[in-house]
Amino acid sequence: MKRLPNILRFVTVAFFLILMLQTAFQFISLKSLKGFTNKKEAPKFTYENYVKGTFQKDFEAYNKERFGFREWSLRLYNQYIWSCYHKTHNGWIDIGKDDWLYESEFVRDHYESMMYKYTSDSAEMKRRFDETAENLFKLQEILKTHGTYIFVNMIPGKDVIYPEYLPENTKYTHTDGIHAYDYYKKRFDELGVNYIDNVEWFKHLKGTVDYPLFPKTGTHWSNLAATYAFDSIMRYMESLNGMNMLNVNIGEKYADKVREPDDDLEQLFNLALPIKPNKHYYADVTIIPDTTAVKPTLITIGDSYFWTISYNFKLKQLFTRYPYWYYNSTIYFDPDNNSTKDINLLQEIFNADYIMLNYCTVQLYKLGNGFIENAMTLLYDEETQTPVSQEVINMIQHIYSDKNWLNDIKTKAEKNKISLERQVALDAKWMINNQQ
Amino acid sequence: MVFSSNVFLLYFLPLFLICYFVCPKRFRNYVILLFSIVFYAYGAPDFILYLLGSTVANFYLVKMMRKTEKPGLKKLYCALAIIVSLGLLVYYKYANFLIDNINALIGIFGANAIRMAKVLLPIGISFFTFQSITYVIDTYRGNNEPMEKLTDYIVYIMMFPQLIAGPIVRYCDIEGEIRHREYSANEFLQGFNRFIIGLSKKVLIADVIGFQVDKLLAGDLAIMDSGTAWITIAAYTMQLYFDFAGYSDMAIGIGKIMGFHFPENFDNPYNSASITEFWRRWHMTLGAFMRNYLYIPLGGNRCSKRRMYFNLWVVFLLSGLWHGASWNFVIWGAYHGLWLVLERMGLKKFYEAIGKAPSVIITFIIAMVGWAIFRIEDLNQAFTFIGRLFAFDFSTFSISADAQFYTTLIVALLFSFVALFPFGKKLQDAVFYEEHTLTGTVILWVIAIFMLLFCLGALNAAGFSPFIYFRF
Repeated sequence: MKRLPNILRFVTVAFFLILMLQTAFQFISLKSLKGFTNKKEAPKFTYENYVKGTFQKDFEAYNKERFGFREWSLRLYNQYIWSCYHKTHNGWIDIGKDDWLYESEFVRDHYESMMYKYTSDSAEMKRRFDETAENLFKLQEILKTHGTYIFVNMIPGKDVIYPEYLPENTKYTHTDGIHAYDYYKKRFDELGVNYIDNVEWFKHLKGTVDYPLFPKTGTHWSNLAATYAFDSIMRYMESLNGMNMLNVNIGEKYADKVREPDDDLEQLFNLALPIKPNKHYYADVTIIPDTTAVKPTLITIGDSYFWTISYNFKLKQLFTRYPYWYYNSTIYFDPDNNSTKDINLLQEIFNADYIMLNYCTVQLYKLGNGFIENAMTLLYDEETQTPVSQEVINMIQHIYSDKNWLNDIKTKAEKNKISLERQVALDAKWMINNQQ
Repeated sequence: MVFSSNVFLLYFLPLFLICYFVCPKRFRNYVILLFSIVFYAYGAPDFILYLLGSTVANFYLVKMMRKTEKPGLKKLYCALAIIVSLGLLVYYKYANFLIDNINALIGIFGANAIRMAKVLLPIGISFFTFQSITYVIDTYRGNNEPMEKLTDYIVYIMMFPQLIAGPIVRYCDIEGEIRHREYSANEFLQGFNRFIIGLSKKVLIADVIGFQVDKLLAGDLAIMDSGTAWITIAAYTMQLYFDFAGYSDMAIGIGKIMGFHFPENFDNPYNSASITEFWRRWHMTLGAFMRNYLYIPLGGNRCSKRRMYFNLWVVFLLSGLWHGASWNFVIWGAYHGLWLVLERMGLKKFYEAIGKAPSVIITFIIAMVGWAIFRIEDLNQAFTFIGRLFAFDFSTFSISADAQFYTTLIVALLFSFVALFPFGKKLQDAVFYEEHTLTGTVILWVIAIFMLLFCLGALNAAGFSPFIYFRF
């Protein structure tokens, strides 16, 4: 035992060595921390950077994200501040009453309005909402003539359904902000835009169902709520064009261990121990065979609420194609396309039976994320205030299918500082006019 | 590079420990030398040559001073060595301050301002300058022989644990260990524990409190209620202590790991029953330097009372200025000097009459008010803040900061005062200074490893704020 201090001395030095090697090479694989961050790249060492001190600063920040046993030490510390002080370092999350967690944006939208993220001028916000709603209605009518049905699926935020657990308002002072949901609902009714209002439905459901519509430690609608909602959405889609889609059978609900993404906010805390949850309910979804049913193509454009649907439904069996244009940017569930920047927009639109604009109340402020504007640029002639002719549409499709031509137009668009869609529309129109 | 940084904890320290213990004993000073140069050059690349240059110059001046038999020449070399050290300190640390004040003065008479490019301050200059002065003077006085090897002297001045924030190690205290030192596993483990204690003080207490102090002091001080003002200054009092004492613990700990015994720098300063005692417990190595190399040469207290008061004031004015080139530090030094003089004029008798506990409280309050001057550089703001402390206006007081801040503040206060009680002193001695049983050693080691990971988590948790999904 007299050798014990010597052994401990050796182990201490070895521990530091392992810490350094783990930092440099990450040779021990640990359960990774949850959530996405913009990872820093290793700074380049140059004499100038070094003398200025920027290398040292960047290298310190770089190591902040990759030091050895970071996963353990952060979970350990996060657990300490959560257990002792009910705190988190995650700036995107607010802790409500009884440990209900909310994304900060939802708290803000509840107490003032997310419009202040975009503008502080209510008249300007209204103008933008009006423009989007009117364009959407025009687009809806144009697409209908091509056999494509577009609709908005409005989903409540957790704050709308469970305001009683929100943290006290200590920082939001504006009270006259406009809420996108309220404004769009009114305008959609006036214009005749197709939409599903899950907000009112969920408010009604809250008092009648015995399962949580939103999980205590998650931000999205609960797995079970999304399951029931998507069944209704499919029936709504059928009602738009009379298509006979496959039906699903939703089994009896049962309590089970938490499944993704019902505890997505808690996951971002990166704790060592789980927060005591409320019960999580699930139901198994089975597809009822029907040889007469059609498997349509559905494009979903919108926020992350669609993920919950995708976890619980076998979409492959329900749809021929179901590409998910996440915030109209990255494309999921489509083996052919990765980004909306690289697609033939009109071809995709015309190949789809349905386009669902899937937005929760907080994300409705940026409804479509540019999709409506891009599609309208290609399909609607601003000069004549009419839909473009089939000839122009064919020419646009032709341009998109010719890589070299499209690249030339991309260059031209950059030079003219206009969008690609605008340049394509202008060139297509010019071609048609010149041929004539 | 600071000890509580990823680069130090994850790369520098591991590499150093491996190289240090793998190397034969006779080469270990070279390892220290190499790593110390890297340590300094990493954080202050512009000044490494200046530091090396002045160190080499001092080494040879002292060597020549020792060689010469002529007293006049000896004095000249001594003066020259001190001028080299102090001159550079004055230039780098005080040139901006001097020019600003001269310009303010001549501006009154309408003269044009003197233009000079801003001088950057080499990190740690105040500490290594004082260390080199102790070497020069102690050798001049014949207290010790000069170093034979230049590399050993550079090791003394530049040894990375105490290079940038002390403790100020007198040459005579460490001379023997630079030439030859013992290595024991128990001392290594004590050093490791001490380092982790220091790291914890800095990361888990000082940084947590400091974050809130910065926020509180960023507000409008003129409308701050007295409750918040007292909490703020109490918090800063704790932040400063745990930051500085933590850094000293880390330095002493690494020193012990390397086989050195650096002098203690803090001895429960807030347990002092007078400001005189406070200065025997706070930044003790600076106090010792000021006493040995300034106060005593000025005559100390072996002179008339008036002269002694004058000496005290000079020492504390200069001590204030040493802390920073700004008037608030000068005023802070004068403020402490004033209390020292008052205590010698009779206040100490009053303290003795009222007993230890009230004296400790009064001294703590005096120290806190002093820290307000120390922390708030703008003197108008500092006095506004002190005005709010004594306005006794609690009408708008509400506790608004988070629980972590208050809990940490209470823990800090408990740690600061625990040694006033016998059980606290016993506990402190047991953790810091006594030999442990094998079981105790293992338990402390496990705790230390756990705390290291915990501190790394605390250091790096703040900026980690992941999203659920990427957003556009």
